[in-house]
Amino acid sequence: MRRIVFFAIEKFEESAREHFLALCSNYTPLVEPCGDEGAYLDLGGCGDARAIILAIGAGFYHTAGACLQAGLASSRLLSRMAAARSPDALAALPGSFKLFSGPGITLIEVLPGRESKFMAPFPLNTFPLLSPGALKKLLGLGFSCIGDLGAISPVYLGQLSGHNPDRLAQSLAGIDPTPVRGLYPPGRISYKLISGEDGRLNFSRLDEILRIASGELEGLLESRHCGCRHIKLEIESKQGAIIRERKLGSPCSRSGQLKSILSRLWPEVLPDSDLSQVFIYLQDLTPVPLCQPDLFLNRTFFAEREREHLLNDLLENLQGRFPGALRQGLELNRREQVLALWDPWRNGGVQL
Amino acid sequence: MKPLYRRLNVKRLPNGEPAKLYLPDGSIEVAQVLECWCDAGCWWEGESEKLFYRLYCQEGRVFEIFQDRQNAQWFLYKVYD
Amino acid sequence: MHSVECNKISVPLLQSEFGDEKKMSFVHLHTHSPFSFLDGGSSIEELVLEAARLDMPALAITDHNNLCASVKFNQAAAMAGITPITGCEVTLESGSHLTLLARNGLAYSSICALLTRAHLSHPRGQPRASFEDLAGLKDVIVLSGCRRGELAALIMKGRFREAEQQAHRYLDLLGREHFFIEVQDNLLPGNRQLNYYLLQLAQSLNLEPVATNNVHYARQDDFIIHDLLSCVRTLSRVQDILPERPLNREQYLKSPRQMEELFSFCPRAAHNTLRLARECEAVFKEKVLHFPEFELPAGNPVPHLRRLTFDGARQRYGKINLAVRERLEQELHIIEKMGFAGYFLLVHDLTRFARQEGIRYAGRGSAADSLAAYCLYICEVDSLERGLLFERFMSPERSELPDIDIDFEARHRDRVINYVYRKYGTERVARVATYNTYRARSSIRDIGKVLGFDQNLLGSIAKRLPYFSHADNIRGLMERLPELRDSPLHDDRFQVLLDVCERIAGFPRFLSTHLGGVVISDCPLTRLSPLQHSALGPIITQFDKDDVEDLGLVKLDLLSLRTLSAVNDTMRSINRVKEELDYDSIPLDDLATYQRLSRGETIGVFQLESPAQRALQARLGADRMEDVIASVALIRPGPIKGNMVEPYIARRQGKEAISYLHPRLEPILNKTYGVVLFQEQVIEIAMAIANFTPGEADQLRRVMTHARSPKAMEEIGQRFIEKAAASGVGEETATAIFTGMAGYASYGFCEAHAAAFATTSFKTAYLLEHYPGQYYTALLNNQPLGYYPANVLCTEARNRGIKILPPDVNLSSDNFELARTAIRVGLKQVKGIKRDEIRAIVGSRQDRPFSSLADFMRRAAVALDSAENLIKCGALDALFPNRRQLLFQLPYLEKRERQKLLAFSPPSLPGPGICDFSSREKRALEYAILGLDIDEHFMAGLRPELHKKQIRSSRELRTLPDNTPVKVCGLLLRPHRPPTRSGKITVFLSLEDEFGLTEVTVFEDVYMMYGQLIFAPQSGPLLIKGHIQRRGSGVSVTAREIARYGPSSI
Repeated sequence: MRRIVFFAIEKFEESAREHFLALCSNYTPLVEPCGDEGAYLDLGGCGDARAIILAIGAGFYHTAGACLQAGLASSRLLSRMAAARSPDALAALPGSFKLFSGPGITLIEVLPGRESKFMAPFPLNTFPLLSPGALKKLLGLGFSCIGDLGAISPVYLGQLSGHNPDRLAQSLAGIDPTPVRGLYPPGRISYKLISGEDGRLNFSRLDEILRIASGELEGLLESRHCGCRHIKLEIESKQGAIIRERKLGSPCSRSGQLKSILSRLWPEVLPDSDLSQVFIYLQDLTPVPLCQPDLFLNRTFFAEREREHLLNDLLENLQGRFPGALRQGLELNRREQVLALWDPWRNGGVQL
Repeated sequence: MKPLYRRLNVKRLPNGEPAKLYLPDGSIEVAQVLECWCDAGCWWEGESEKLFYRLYCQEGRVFEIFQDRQNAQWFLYKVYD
Repeated sequence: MHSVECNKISVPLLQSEFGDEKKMSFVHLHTHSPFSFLDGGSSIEELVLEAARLDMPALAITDHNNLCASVKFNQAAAMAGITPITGCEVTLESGSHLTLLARNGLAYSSICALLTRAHLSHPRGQPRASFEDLAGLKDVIVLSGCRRGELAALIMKGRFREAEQQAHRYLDLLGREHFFIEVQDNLLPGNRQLNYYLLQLAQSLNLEPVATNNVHYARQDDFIIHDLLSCVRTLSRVQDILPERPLNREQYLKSPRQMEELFSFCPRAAHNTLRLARECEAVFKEKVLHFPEFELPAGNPVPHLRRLTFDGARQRYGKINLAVRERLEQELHIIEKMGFAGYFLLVHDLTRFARQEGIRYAGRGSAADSLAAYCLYICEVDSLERGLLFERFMSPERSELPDIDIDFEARHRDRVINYVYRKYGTERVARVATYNTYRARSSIRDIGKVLGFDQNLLGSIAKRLPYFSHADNIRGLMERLPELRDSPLHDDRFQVLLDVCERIAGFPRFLSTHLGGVVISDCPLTRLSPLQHSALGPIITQFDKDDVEDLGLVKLDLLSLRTLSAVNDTMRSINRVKEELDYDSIPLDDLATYQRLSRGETIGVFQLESPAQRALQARLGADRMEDVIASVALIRPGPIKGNMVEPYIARRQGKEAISYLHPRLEPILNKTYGVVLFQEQVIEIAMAIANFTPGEADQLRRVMTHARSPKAMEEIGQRFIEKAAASGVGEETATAIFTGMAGYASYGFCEAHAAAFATTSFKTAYLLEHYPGQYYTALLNNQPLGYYPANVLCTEARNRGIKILPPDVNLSSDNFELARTAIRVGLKQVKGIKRDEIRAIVGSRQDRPFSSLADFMRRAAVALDSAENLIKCGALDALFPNRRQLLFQLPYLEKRERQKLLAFSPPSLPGPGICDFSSREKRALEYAILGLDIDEHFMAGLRPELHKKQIRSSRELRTLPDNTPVKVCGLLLRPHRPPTRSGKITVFLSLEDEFGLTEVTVFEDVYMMYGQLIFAPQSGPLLIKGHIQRRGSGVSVTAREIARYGPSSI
């Protein structure tokens, strides 16, 4: 069963944040920081999730003196919902969660099998699969919380929202297959191969699973403007871990290349049973040089954004070296535009 | 034609019109005031009003200069050469 | 690169030829006022005063394509002692400008005609005069125009030869004595060359140059106003670059000395302004009345009017007795003497047309003082019976036009106006204009947008300002009103905005059509005013109601009154069942109606339904028409402010002795218990005590009611006392009478007007009492009407046992309909539904009723949004009771219909399993869609909860004794702050619940604490704690604490 926790953190200093993420990465490679808001951890296969969370909370409290709020559930969606809800607000809904607290931490654990009951009172706009149009329509019809959607057949809800009815039904039951990406430490990307409702790997569809994983990993690399020079595959079983890795001469960032490397790294023979989990690690991340958009594949590759950043840096630099000069230039430009409306000398009118 | 923004000194006639410009590389006599106009600029940003002159000077050079009406300072705005 | 030959720029060349002038003054002949509509930065008064301050003998106003400012400008100039020169800056078909100045009245008329053609022959908002039409100008000075003038524009483009040819054309068309070359130097680039060539042109054609400054504001500081208004006009922001915006702040009213210096290169141009100004005279020298001619076969209107009046008198009275004859003779004599016979015939003709067409009408205003008007069926008040004075309406000593205002039922008012057009010709009839001016809200929105503030923020700021507040009082309101205490306007960044709003207060934004004003003239109107299209379509004058009167035009107020439409509907509905009631014969002594009035149960009654009126009725105990007439006059800002209400009620109830300062006052004041309530009484007193002639007495009334200068008051007071002494009234008594009269008369009301209104009030109260079903239905069908929204009327109807039925696609028509003791809501009440759709629904169910939603969508073919609203408000409940399921089916049905057409297999419909809305949700939806509570009032749902918390309903309050502490809760309705004598703010508001209204008074100290809850968007009911105040049979609550109501409220 997937054990995903979301830690909601107050805004605190960069050093404390760094310390918090480092603390988390001691327990799992799958630490996904979410900006200022917090971080997801996938604690599946890591031992007693509850104890780990309380330990992280206590450790952080002792070193940084700050409190955390955590939500533990079988999916990202639910863990985040749980962490965002204050225990007082949940008091009206006994039976769908358990509350734990330790030094510096409050943990709400959504009980397995009670997911839909837990979600029911949340406002409709917290349900991620509704487009703004569908949301407006449903609010107009008097539906105000997620539980109300149970009154509608998923098929019709699917037609309304444009999503696959199965996916909708799963989401309403609290099932969310989105993985937690190991994005910490910054020089490494970790990824856990999972599939299906219970989060276990289905080897009969290995090719498909690797294709999906490569696509996601490409997106993660692209968002960092990076490629990787080291790919590692870690397969854990009761017998121990199998580690296969490859170092690359030039950075790799495309999904096709990733998939072919991963397929080649995959062992031909695997222990038949007791596979607990499979991780992919992309390491030695290095910036990829500027590229032009690949028109044939219709992909934009960050060249434009990069250029924008460069221009801004340049302007800032110039502003620092020649304070006020740029602005003056703008004024001159504006004045000339105005004068062009009035001055016949400028717009080719009266000749002397 | 270069837009400039340099301070300069100006000798004026009794009617206030410029008669001689003192530039860093020497002075230049004004032969004729071709045009005079006033521009309120970006007043909403606190810019002061400016009085512009287009001047025909020695050697056939044409200058545009302005006086900031707030502090009475003169600036070279453009040189047509 | 430009080539430069500086020896050509010898501009002073012309100076010697035109010669210099010794003494220098100057007249600005090209000036824009705010009536250039967002292209002028100073008011007319500021411009005139500045010109006078600068010792200028005259000033011209030349707005863009209109003469709107001319009447006000002429008045302001006369006050300031300078000569007004009326003119305009006209736009030609080429888009170029010309400056026109009227030398005299004839010239003015020719400009009017030119502008009318320019407006009416082009689309609205783009007036263009043709070059050929300029030939029609008489005695008009034509200046060649600013930079946008044709000559200047050609010169600026370097097309000198064409400029010269064009100047020749103007010269040939207009003549040397009328055409002048306009030169300007407002420090714009290119001016030196432009003026050089313009003067060269003038010299070569032997034309005179004239200097102007294209003035757009009085003082240099006002440049900002002009610039920002230009941005408003061009829908742009202050950062935008546009040719319509000024480059600099030079277009102000410069002094003669400044103009002399600017035009030192051609002093003659400046001097010529004086010469031209001397040629011009004020165009409105004496007021001439322009009576429309009522065409008669015999020619003379007098005998015809006499015959009609006496015929009418015989119909009204059966037999003409001596009193009637004498009064009519006297009135007809004055009418004839003053030449108003044609005017009376005209008005009679209009009312005759309305009667003939079955259009209900009622004359209002002082016309009801005339017995002739009564006999001519212009109004319904018998002035003889009521003892009303004809002199208040018309007096030979006052050459003013009598004012006859008539209310027509709203639905058919335009038919009457069309009749006027047909009868008198479109060239003699026009609607009167009105100026939409800057108030607090509009100025914040417009200027704030230009300055780049967020529009949503501006919208919310503006909404919080009181509706009619003035733009120059925003800061005062921010200090005073608690709901503005936390307004973002207090931020520093808004200070410039507030400064500008103060300066543009009252500036006109655009011209629109006056509600009912129509002018009819004896001559083509284009001699008196330019005409133009209004946004709504009718052709309007360029003057407002005050200006047209000053022009001597006859203005009729043909107003549209929805109450009369409601009356007509009620009568039709009554007489459809039993033909027995004649509206004109409704007895004015009906006991049950007076009892209803005395209980203050008058919601829906014309003029008597406001909280103040209902409170008055509950105390007054009206039992005769006099009481109703007095009520109409009493609840006005003046009498309330003047504290006249309390003494009146005390005397009416016999609690205060009635005394008269002189026995001669008794017959005049006994009907109002010794209180001077009506303007007619002032006239009568002046005649009885001081032997004033009727004309003199009316003049006294006018001095008092118009709050003229203290000097005028003192003079007429002295005359009153002197003449009173001569007629045997002691000085002390006369002084006391005069002072008392002055105290009351400034608030006085015209009795005839009150009587005319009171008749309608009583008759509507009668209909409300005896035919509530029909009357409520008619009121609901003529919304918006009266003081309260439809939902309050529904609550009232329910309380009288009339059920409100929901709309039903199989049963409702477009209007509300009475079915026995229930009112069925009409389909037009459904939000967003179109007239065509209603027609389609009603039409397609004639074959057979709709059987299902699918059937409805197939046959009625309404838009999805409308169908959705119909479902939500319950109009399809009879077809299928689950509204939510119907809503779910709707898009698929529509899709299915489409796919059927394309021969696809239709998608299946969402089946059962969708739960319906709760009954509370249904009520909320109905209110949102219909603006009405159908089954029960919103507050009824909260009642058990309120009851537990001991929060009283409006019904419970009626039985509680004075001063009982209470908690009340309801939906806020019509909070308002009427003026008070002390100047302190008192807020009156109503709380609406399922039993009716609770009136609440909030005094200043409480308002200061809770004002932000009252004057803010409402999100639910308000809870008010306070105590009961009983007066007569009326009950109100004086508030002590106010809060929003929520489940946790206690």
